Formats: sequence, structure tokens, C-alpha cells
Amino acid sequence: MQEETRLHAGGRKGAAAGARSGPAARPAARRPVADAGEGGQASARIDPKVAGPGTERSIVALKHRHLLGILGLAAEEITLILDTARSFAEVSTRTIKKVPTLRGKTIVNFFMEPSTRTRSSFEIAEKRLSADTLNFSLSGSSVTKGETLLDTARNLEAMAPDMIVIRHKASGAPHFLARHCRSNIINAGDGWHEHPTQALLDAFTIREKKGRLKGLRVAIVGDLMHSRVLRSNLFLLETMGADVVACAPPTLTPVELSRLGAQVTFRIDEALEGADVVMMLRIQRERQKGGAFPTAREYYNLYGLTAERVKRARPDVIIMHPGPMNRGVEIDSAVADGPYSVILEQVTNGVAVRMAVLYLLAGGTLGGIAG
Amino acid sequence: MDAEKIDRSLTRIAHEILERHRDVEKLVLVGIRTRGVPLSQRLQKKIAAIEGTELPLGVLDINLYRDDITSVGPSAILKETIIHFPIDDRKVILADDVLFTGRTIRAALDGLMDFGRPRSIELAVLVDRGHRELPIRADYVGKNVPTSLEEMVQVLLKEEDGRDEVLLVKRPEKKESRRSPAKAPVRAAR
Repeated sequence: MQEETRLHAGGRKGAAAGARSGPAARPAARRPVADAGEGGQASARIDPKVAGPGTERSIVALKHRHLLGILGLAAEEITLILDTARSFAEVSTRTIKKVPTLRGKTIVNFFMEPSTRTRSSFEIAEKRLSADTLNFSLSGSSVTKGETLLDTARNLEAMAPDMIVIRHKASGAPHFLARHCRSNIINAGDGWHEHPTQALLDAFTIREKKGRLKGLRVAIVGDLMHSRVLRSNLFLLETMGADVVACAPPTLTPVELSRLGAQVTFRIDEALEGADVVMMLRIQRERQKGGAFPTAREYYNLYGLTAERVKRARPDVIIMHPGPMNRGVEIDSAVADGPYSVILEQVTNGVAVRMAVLYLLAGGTLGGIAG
Repeated sequence: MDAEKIDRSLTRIAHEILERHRDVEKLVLVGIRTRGVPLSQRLQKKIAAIEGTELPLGVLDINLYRDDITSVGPSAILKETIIHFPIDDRKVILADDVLFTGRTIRAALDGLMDFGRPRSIELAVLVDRGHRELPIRADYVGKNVPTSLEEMVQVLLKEEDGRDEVLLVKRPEKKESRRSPAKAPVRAAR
């Protein structure tokens, strides 16, 4: 518990500015659902003798009604999401790519930051589950007219959506919404804080390729400072027992990173040595006004992933990138399109993982919310 | 029901299926997870032994088609649906362990329709325990078991549970709603 608190504190310091609503919101995120759907009941009802040999006592429902971050999710919950996603991958291979599971549910995609991949991935996932979707984005919305987040949330809530998928530039915005809305909230990226579905789809991709997460050496290279993808992945990989080595120029490395459990290095060759998985992070040009490195070309020379550098990793290494890629900055085209790259598989898997998250959160709804 | 009775029932059902369908080519088997799967595999073996033809076999997970998924929540981990053959114009034999309210079968029918337009669908179950809530009946029944709602029918199969047996047990006292509670624990016992 103490460990967790410590991690948490570090994590938020990383999130730094804008994390105002973070601390108060956290308990809400970790609040166990009063009655975890049928999960608790069902397993309580099974007679262990009847259940037979080799029966795994795995959980069948999440303990949370929001997905605000990876921090606070138990290993068994992560496993449940990944297992469920595996089954959903099949739905996307059918001729009729649609199941009626979330029929009559309304899901709002509330995207206050530009996003192509994540938003379309969520939208496709929602549509394949037969939910009704409403897209609400920055341009042309009342937010540009000066409405506060709380007012926007209240107005959204007044239309009785069942779930809200939120992307926001302020860390903690989803937590804030979770405190003020009855809908299930899904964090689709908040500031520098977390991007849980990205970490889940990364984990899913790794597991599909490697068969496991435990004991793998995962190198994460790139803009560690501004990356919510890093934080979510770090929490997830730590929980699942993988070893993470993080690499960036000192100017893009948050000081508390090593306290979060990652090994930190400033040399990419060192990070790549013997890696099973290499995750490249995007150099976020829109957040580079401080001049953390002189030029993109210098960054490429010192930290860009080239075919030559990949040779230091294990021969069966997989190369990942959450997108959008800056070719010739953090990653060379030859690597991005090369044999080790699973970058497009990540996108495909994203739909299945998001379907799983929506399905599991919807399932807990009535059993979960108190009255 | 013990192992021998289960086996005899399945042998009889296999014969009944063949009796009713002369042209085996059009037949396909689809098992409903969890325990419909081993049952359909056994039927497949038996039909192969009698007729010398191995019927295509599919596996259907009905969780995504349940009518109570958003109210009750998942009762089992979602598993993959595997139907690798076209079911258009085929005669589908759907197999499950227990026929109770009929809601599982309703969900399975919806699920199958997403894979094509079969010529016909027939239902084979090991146990029919009555208490239907929907206009659904089985075409092939291993055993009809009159039950009360306070009872649960538990089908144990070697492939899932290590032994073959059908048990009728008293449902433990619970405050839960009476809607299909008896079946849920059996399916959840995975």
C-alpha cells in the first residue's frame, strides 16, 4: 500500500501542472464497486468441488466502473481485459462486424485535443458493439465560447449518456468528470498523466507476440517527460512483472522516473541491449517550445531508432510506436516499415481492446452503481 | 445421469439426427460455450463413426447476445466464437447442455444469424428442465427432467469438469431475482 502511494505521488509529480483534480479524484478511481456485477456472486455460488480440476478462479467483472488510469488496476483486472479483448478480435474478422451487446447505450466521445487514431478507434469499437455515439470535439464546440469543463460536463450529463470517453489536455480531467457525472468515464488521454487504453492495447500486442508480459525487457525511448503513454505503460508493465528501461535525453527525463520502478538511461544503445520489446515515443513538437534539444536532426542522430541500433536488441524483438510517427526524428522509416514493426497491429488491436473495455464497464453498470 | 447414460443419450441423438437428415453434406454442428462445445464434439465423433463423415464444427459464445448483459453484467469471461465455415444454406445442429428459460438459445439464434442464413437450425440438448420463458423447444433431448425453480441442474463433462455426470442440486438460498439464476452458476463454473 505504501509502495502504491509512493508510486502515485511520483506519478503525479510527473504529471505536474494541470493535475489539480488528481489527488481528490484518485480514491474515486480506486473505489471498489459495491458489488462487482455478477462476478463476486457467481464465483461465490460455484461449488469448488463441482467446478472441477484445473478451474481457474479468474474474475469475470472489473472492480471499477470507470477507466481513469492503469494505476489502481489489479493484475487480474488487466488480465481480464486482455483476455476479453482476445475474443473481441474475432468480431472484427466477421462479414457482419457488429454484435448487439451495447444496443441502446449512448456513448459520448468528448475529445478536447486533436486525435485521429484514438477517437476513430473508440468510435469503431462503439459501433461494432451497436452503441449510439456522439462525437464532441474542440472545434465548433461551446468550449471555444468559454464554457467551463464542469458546465460542459453537466450539459452532457443532462442528455443522459451511459459512458463518456474523454481526452483532455489537463491531467485529471477524467477524474474530475467521474466525480460529477453518473456515466462511466473512460480516459482517452489526459495531459501528461495517463492513456490507459493505449497501454492496454500495447500490452495486448506484446502478449499476442510474446505469449507473456512477465519477465520481458521493455525499452521505452523518446519524450518521457510529456508522455502519458509512458506513464500508463510503466504502471501496467510494472504490475504485470515486466522490466522497463526508459531512455531519453536528460532534458526530457522526469527526475522521479526511477522511483516509479524503471531503469533510466540516457544512452539508447544501452536501453536497446537485449530488449524483447522496443516502444518508441513520439517527440511531441507541440510541447517542445522549451528547447529540450537543439534540432530534430541531432535528436535523430543520438536517439533515433535505426536498423543498425535495432541489432542490439534480441533477434525476435518487436518495435512499437503509439503513433503518430515522426519519421526521421524518433524512428527511421526502414525500422517503422521493417520486419520487426508491429505498429499497424497495434492499431488493429486497439479496436478489440477498446471493445473489451466498453463491454466490461457496461456490464458492471447496474450491478455497480449504488441505486 | 451417470457417464453411461450420458453416452447412450448422445448415441441416440446422433442416430436421430442422421435419421432425420439423409444428406449429411448439408449438416454442421455448433456448440454453445461452455458445455455445448464438448457435447457437439462428441456428437461429431459419433456421427463420424456411424456415417464416416466428419461434420464441420463451430463454437459460439453467446455472451455478446445476452439480453441481460448490461443489467446483470458478465457471468463468464468472454471467449472466442469460432465458425470457420459458411453457414448459408446449411442445416445447423445447435448443441447445449441444459435447456431452461430458452434465453441462451434465443441469444445463440441471434448470434448464428450474424454468420449467415442457414437453411434450418435444430436444437440438441442433454437435459431439458422445463420452465421456458420463450417459445423455444429442443429437437433432440437427452433427458427430460422435471424440476422446480429452487433446483439447479449441473452438467459435468470430462472435458470441462473431469467427470461425466448430471446433478440436480438445491439452489442455495439467495435473495437474487428468479430470472435464470439456476443456469448462471453452471455457465460461470469455468
